[in-house]
Amino acid sequence: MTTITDAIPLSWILVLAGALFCIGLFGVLTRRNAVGVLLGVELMLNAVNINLIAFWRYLEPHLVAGQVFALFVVVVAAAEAAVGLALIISLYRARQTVNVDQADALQG
Amino acid sequence: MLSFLQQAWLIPLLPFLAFVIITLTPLRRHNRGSALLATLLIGVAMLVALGLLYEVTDGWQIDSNGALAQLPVNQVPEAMGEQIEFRTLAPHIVRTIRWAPAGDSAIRLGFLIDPAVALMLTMVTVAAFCIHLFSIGYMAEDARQARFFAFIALFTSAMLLMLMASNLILLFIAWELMGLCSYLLIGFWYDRDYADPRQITPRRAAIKAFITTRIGDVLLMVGLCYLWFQAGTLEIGNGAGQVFHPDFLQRIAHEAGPFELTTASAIALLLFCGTVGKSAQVPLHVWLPDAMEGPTPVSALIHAATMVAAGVFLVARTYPLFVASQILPLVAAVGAFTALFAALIAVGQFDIKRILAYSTLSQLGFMVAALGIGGWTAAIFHLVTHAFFKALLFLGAGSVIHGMYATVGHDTNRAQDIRNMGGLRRFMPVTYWTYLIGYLALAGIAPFAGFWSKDEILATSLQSGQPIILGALLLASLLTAFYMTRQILLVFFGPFRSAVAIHYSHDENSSQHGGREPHESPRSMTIPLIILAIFALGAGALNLPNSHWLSHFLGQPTHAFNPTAALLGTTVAVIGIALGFALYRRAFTAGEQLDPLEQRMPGVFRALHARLYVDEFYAASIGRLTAVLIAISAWVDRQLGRGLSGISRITAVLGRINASMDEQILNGGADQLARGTTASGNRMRQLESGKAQDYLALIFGGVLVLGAVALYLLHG
Amino acid sequence: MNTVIQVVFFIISTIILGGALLTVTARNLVHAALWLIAAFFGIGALYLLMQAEFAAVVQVLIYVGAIAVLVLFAIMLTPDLAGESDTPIFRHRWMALVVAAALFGILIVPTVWNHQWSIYTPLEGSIVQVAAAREVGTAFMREYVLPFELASVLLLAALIGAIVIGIDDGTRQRILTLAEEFRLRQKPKD
Repeated sequence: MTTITDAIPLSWILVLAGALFCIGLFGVLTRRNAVGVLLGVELMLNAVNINLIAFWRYLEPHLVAGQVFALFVVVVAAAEAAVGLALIISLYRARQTVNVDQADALQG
Repeated sequence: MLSFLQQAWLIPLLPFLAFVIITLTPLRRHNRGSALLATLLIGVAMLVALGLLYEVTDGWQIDSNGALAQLPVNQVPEAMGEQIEFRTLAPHIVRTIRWAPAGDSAIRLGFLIDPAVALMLTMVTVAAFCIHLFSIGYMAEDARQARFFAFIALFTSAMLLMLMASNLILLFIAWELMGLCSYLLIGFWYDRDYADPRQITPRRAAIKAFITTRIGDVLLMVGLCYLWFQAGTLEIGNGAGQVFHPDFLQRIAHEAGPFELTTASAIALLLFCGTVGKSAQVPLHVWLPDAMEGPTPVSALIHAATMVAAGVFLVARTYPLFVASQILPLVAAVGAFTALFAALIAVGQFDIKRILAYSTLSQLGFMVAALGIGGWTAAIFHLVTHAFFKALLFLGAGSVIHGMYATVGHDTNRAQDIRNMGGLRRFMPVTYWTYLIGYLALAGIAPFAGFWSKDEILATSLQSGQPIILGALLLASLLTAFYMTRQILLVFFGPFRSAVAIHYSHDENSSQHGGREPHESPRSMTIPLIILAIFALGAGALNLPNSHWLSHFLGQPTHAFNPTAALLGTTVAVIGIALGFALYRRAFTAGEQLDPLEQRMPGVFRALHARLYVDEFYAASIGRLTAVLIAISAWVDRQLGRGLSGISRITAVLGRINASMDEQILNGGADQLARGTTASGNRMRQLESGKAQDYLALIFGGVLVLGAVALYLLHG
Repeated sequence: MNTVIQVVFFIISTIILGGALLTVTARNLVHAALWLIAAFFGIGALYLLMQAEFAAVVQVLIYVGAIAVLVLFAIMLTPDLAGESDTPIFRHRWMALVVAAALFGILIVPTVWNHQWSIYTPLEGSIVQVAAAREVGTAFMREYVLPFELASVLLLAALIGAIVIGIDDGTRQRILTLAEEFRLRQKPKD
């Protein structure tokens, strides 16, 4: 039976994941809207997950570690999204905006 | 039986438990409860540590299979000549877990107990317990008490973990944790401001300490990475697959590394940078005196007894690497210079805590110098005795300040100025007597602990045949005796100079609870003083010249008692005391405003009072450099125009970081310089807004640079 | 057969990258969230192609079913965003483009291309054992049981944290007891 490992080299998938990561990074760096920033972060996390699954499938498919790690990343991403969105709503309530330009308390 | 060896992991766990309970449960709203809980758990940890020390003294050992054996008492030869001899002892117990397994390799983290560790654990837990007990009284009126106790419990836990770490990675983790706690505790009174804008506030002192020690920490991390690359492991020990394996040491001692150093020298130099930061040696010493902005028990625990000693302990821990390297003379020079330099500055200070801070710098310099000339045992010995008597002195100072609050109100500047004190021995007898013991120990007078340990360092330097080191250390001892005599005369003797505040109080200070006579501190504060005084008096018995118990215990060569060193040490101490007595017996009486030394040598005294202008020098050198960088980036920005605003944005961020660095590290002068140098530089600073996205871009820019270097330069 | 897989892979890649690009560039946030869902579906399909069925199901359930819906709700709950057109959406995009492109161009691609990955090659004729959902489930209950429990604690903490952060100060009141309710209602009548 032919599988993906015969048809596609590992590096193609890794480049795909790398591109996805960089697109997500671009989104995180450019979006003024906090929700938009969060969307970019989700893309970056997914890129990592693709890497994990790809390495698992190509290097050690008989083990489960790769999939398990990917699932933990999903769990953490879910927690991050929930808390992040709660923070955004709380920010909106405090300042009537979700523009990250105006959240500049880091300036100190 | 022998439960203590197996249960050693409890020692750091108990304080950590206190931190967790106070932070996560409603106990954090209960000041008294959290204080008692933290103290109780530290007390239990102290008992475990004492039991552990007892078992280690008996020579009990548990090997990796859990089998029990009793080692013979270490028989050690007498040291011969100038050769540095250091023996790595077999640990009494090692327990590790596999951490972060990745394929076949895993990092083994855990604890390791050998005699030096057992001794240090005992010292830290005893000191921490006394200081916790003291804090119950000292912090009684503070609203954020629960937070305070949570932080110092966390700090104690990190310190204990660092001591018993079996792996340099774990040691580094605990090391950074201590840095964090130090930052949190220096800035504990973060809402405090002073009338004089040039005086450093707790917030800024915390940032200054954090950033300054960071310089050393980063280099230490680089050193650990380098060591990792060379050895393939960071496990402590001399067995196979551990960092002190003789073959490995042999190899790196002769292998050429970067910058014409041997590999061992490069590694040891980087590790030593960590020590310079943490133990506040010149040139990174500037943070420690300002760290005195924290509460006094914090100064006693972190910035005198334990954390600053961590740097010395790091060198002691990795001593085989230092012996294999060629940088021990540099270590000795840095230590001796710091000892002398800090002792000089201490002469010109008026703040009771700052005098002790510079004294701490100076004593740490003694320890580092001792390590540099091969006096490993002497350094550990001085580390232990110094921890006791310096904790005692700091707590005594805290007690004095606490008493002064009654007279001058809650004004730190006035309460800590020794010119406002005098005659306190009548009001605070327990504090006076215990302080006197600490003073004699620090000055190095015969039966007190400091004499024996300092004598051992002097004897080592005499034996190693390094007259310059010996001279610097002797001069530093003289100055130590001198400034401590000055301090104790001004604080405890003569008339009480703030008596005037008692009469004119009700109109001005009534809201600040001032205007009463100073009073003795409550019992919860005096009992720790008494305990520590007993140790300051008796800790010298650890390594008396006839028994050499400590040398045997640590398994290191002994030095025969050197009468010349003892005579020299005592002579300079007596001279220092006599000088101090002659100058300061009648100081500040009869309306005099000037320090007697200032009357005689005004220029010298003013330089000493201004801390020999080190901060100003940094402001003028690094501050000017950053100002120039800002100007250059502004020029680049104008030249390139708006087309490449991305690059200019990055330079703007750089400019802002530089600007904030000189604001925070180099308060005062640098600010002026930066403001004066270029208006454009200031405009660049305003462009930058503290946005998280810019910092993220900068982080990824850094990743890019580092990655490109690693990929294309290092691997061709 | 190989060609079929390659064609499928390119289609999936196009969906993922196209969806991602539109996610980060769409002016309307609701559209961005919808494009994100498309990208998530594409990633799920990629997992299926790599025979990670369980991960694919989780991807669709959690990312598409939960996270994306959560994002949409957040967009609707903070009303001034949806039609925010007078202010520019992006800030200094050139720097971001340079950083992202450089990261991709000089780090990721050369690393991926030059590195010789030790590809797992099964013996001739034997069938590759691919761990299926059953093995993953067993692993969660055996060697990964501690991380599994920790993850559940993390989720619980995030849940509570999100509620605490998101709750409105105005609504953070005690629920009245019946007696208090009764007293409150009686007052106006007096």
